[in-house]
Amino acid sequence: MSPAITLEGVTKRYGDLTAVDAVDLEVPEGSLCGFLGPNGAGKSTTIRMIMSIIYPDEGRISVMGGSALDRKDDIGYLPEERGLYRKMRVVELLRYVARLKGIDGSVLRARVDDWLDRMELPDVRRKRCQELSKGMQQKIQFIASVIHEPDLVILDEPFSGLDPVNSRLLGRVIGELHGAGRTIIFSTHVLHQAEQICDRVVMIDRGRVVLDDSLAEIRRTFDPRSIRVEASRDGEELLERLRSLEEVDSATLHEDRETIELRIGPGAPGEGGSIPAGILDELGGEARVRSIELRRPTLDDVFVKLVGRSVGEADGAT
Amino acid sequence: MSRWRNSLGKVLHVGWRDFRYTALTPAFLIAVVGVPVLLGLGALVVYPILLSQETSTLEGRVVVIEQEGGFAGILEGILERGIRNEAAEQVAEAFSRLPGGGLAGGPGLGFMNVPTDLELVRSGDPSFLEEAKQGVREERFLAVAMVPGELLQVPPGDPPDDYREPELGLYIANDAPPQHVATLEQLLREAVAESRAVNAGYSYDQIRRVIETPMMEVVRITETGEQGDLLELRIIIPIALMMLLWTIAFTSGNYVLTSTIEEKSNKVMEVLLSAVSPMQLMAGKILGQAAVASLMFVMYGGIAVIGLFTLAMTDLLSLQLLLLSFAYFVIAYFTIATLMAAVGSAVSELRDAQSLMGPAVLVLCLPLVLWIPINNNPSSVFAVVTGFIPPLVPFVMTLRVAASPEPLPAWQILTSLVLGAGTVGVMLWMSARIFRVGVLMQGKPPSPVELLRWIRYR
Repeated sequence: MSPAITLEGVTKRYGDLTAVDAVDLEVPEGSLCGFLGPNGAGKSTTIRMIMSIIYPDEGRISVMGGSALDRKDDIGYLPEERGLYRKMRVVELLRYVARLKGIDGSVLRARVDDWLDRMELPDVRRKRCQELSKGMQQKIQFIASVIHEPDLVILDEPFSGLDPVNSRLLGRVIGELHGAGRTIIFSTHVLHQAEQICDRVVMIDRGRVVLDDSLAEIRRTFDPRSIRVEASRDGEELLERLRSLEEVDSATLHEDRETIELRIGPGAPGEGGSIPAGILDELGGEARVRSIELRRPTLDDVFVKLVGRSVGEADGAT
Repeated sequence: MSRWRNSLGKVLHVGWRDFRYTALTPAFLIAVVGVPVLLGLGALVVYPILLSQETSTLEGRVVVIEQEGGFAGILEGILERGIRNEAAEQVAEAFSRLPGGGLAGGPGLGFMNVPTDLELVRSGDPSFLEEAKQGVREERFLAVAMVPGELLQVPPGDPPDDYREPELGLYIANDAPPQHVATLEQLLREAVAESRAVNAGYSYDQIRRVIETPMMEVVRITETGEQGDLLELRIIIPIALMMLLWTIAFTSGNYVLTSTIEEKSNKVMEVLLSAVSPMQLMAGKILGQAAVASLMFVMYGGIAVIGLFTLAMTDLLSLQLLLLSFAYFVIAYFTIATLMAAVGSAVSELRDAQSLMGPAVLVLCLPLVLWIPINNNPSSVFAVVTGFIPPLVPFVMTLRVAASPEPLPAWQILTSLVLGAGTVGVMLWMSARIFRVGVLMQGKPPSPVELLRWIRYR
């Protein structure tokens, strides 16, 4: 698959601060790629350079085989800083932006109505932007960025400021766009959001790419191979039995004396996200087990493993 | 070709939005259309009505204290035949000089005529003065006139060094309206002059007719014939035209400034820049406001031309003047609008813009100071030189073209147009360089040195 975006040795400095440091990156066409990292990591700067809004001090950027300036009409962009013409009516604003993106004529009216319905905003057409709630304004901005149905969609912190219901709605629409074959990049510092919808992850910290891989590969690479078993009563006896299994490398009982943490041995079958059959057999006949959980690595775990601190700690440090 | 058309389409979309949200708004229609219409109505309808209103009657008893007699009788005669208001006559004459007799024969000048209903109380006793003054305080008398006897004699032609001209004393209440006081003064002066003529044995009426200055018709000889001289309008039209250019260019340029700052402070700039390039955005904004400026120019200019047509004074305008004014207007607008776009992109708040463009505005205000010497002698070396100084070109040249009785040399006009167009080109290039960097900057406004650095950025 050819890359939709390629960055080669891209560097951007602001005075003494290197915001983006020699970044090499490829985003495959048709992927849903999350740019993840704490605030100030360089995500927005990278995105702005991809959009040719600002220019790198060093390196080369290719967007769909050329410069973003030449492909503006094929790119949808939701900037981190939200802004609308406050006194413009919603329908006028969307038409204005769509026309700037090359959409005109009868398609335009239908497209505006369709997107307002899709984002569950059917009654705001004639309202002025300043009359809308913050969440509604954000959804209008999202519509403005995709109304021309671009091949490449770049969303900078699209979920920030949205309530859970609207976050879910936006996540669903992003998934639909991805399903329709669009390449989507979005940045976020809330890693579990990315985990839910991305198929590819680029982790950025202090201007450098610390991880660039598919989500499946990341899970495989960072699989902790651990199982948590919750016993319904004293787990001491169960612990001893599990310890004796050859698939189990180590087993520990928590202080509550009910939760058992199993570490699966490296050679055990079931690698790739499933519980080894021997363990399942042992637990299957056990009436005293309340739950069995195969623990998967979260992106936050991965981030911690890579940079030695969590995203939350990094956010606090910036 | 298609790419170029797409780019032009984006510029025009941006321009149309700026035009629409500036010119097609109630605020603009009220400020730019409504107010001038109201002022015009005021000038054409309300003002003449106000002018024609007569002031209140000058009535009451006036004490005349004179030692020699005769003065009061002459004053009585003047009151009977009516006062001759020379000031009103001069204004009426000025209006009558306008083609077609001015506005429907000139406005009524009732405000200059004070109707009188006076009763004279004569006294030959100077000691009555104090009692008469008390009468004024108690409102029994309107005024007291103390007329020295020597005042009524013809003053010596070659007065000795110690000669002291006698004075007429007029005592009147503190709250008397100024026009009443002026009318009384005029009555008394006229009576003194007539008394002197009578005492010297002349006919006052004859003397007046002898010394009266005649009306005059000034005719300018042109290559094709003759035309009347309208001196006052010849002075007013150049400055009015230049002010029109200056005001509209600055008003529209200010719209470019405020809309750019608004887009920055609304954070909508990045959305726009994802669809258009900074150059397209700036060009669109400047073109949109150019349409606003042209609308204002055509509207105000049109009102002026219609006014001159109505007054049959079209010979004051020529096609060349109108075309050149428009050309200089275009240069003036683009010079100022590009400056405003650059400043607007560089700052985040309007107050920061004021300090940043202060020096430039100061230079652009120079024509407002220099118009008198340029208007008086539009072909002087000073006028020619200032007409070639780039930021001043459109304003000074408009003034010169309109004020000069003879057409300016073609080379001067061509040079100024080339210089003006060159200035616009340079300003456009510099502004575009500043704009592409400035639109994404937030916070502290840049210094002029930083602006220069932005121009040099790759």
